[in-house]
Amino acid sequence: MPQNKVYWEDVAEGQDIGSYSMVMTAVKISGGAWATRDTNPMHHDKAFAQKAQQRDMIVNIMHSEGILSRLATDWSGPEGELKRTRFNIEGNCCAGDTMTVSGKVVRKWIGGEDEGYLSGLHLVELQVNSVTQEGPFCNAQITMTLPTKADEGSR
Amino acid sequence: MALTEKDTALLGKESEPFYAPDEVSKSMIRHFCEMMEDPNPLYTDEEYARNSKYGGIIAPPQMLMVWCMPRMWPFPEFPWMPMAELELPGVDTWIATDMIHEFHKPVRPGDKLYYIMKLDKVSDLKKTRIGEGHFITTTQTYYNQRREMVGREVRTVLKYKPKEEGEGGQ
Repeated sequence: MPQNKVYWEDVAEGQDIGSYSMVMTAVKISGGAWATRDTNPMHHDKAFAQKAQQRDMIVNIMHSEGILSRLATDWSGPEGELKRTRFNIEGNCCAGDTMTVSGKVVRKWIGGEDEGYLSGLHLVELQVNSVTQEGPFCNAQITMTLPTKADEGSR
Repeated sequence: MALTEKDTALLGKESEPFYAPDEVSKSMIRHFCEMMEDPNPLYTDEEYARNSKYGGIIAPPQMLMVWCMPRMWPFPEFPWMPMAELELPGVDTWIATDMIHEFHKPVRPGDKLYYIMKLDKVSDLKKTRIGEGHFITTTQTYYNQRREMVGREVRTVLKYKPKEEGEGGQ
């Protein structure tokens, strides 16, 4: 199967990186919690979640991380490498909700000497947001490397 | 409400290593990708991965925390963990609210990970939409069987007492 390949040189700050939507059924929420080994009943048991003041079973943070990180690598293709991610849960995503994930490039730079393991890498930072019909759910800042034309030319 | 003296004394303390129950495996990777609908061929396509710069399948970096999640049965014996020692009277329900991941080295099938946890911060009791609780921030540093650091995680969880029906607040 042909793979996406986005070169660092071709990216512009402000550029959209696409979007997708998923219906988060109870099966999907519980399945995502098991796939991330999260046994908190908040992600498996509607009665428990409601007693804990949630509308219904909620999507767990590792599942959210998986769904939002995927937008970055779907866009870049497999040669884009995730380096640093931050996820902040603002609301909730409950059984039956439709989660829509979208993002854009907010920064493009070469890692500075003071940036430790990112030093010298060709980087972009993506702002990725997910919302449900009820409002904001989770927002993320994702830093990744992209392949460069310069590197390929020198091979 | 401020923290108890015992809880304050735990700030900055590090745990003993906590080991993943299993080695990183292709079946767990496939299960994860199935639930995320993640088509990245580095995670599940042997041929593509073999011809990539990695020379074989890698785990999705975002699975970093997954490998060291404890078994439900038989429940593991935990090493000393500052987070488990917290008293925090009156709160018993928790959810994660914020997570930072840094990925330093690829994680591959067959790797056996462990982490060391440091307790960074515990907030005073705060009112939230779902009840009163403490925000607890910890840093987990993950290593593989060769003691190479593969990644780092800074996680904040809210440990809270759910509001009773009919209580106010937003």
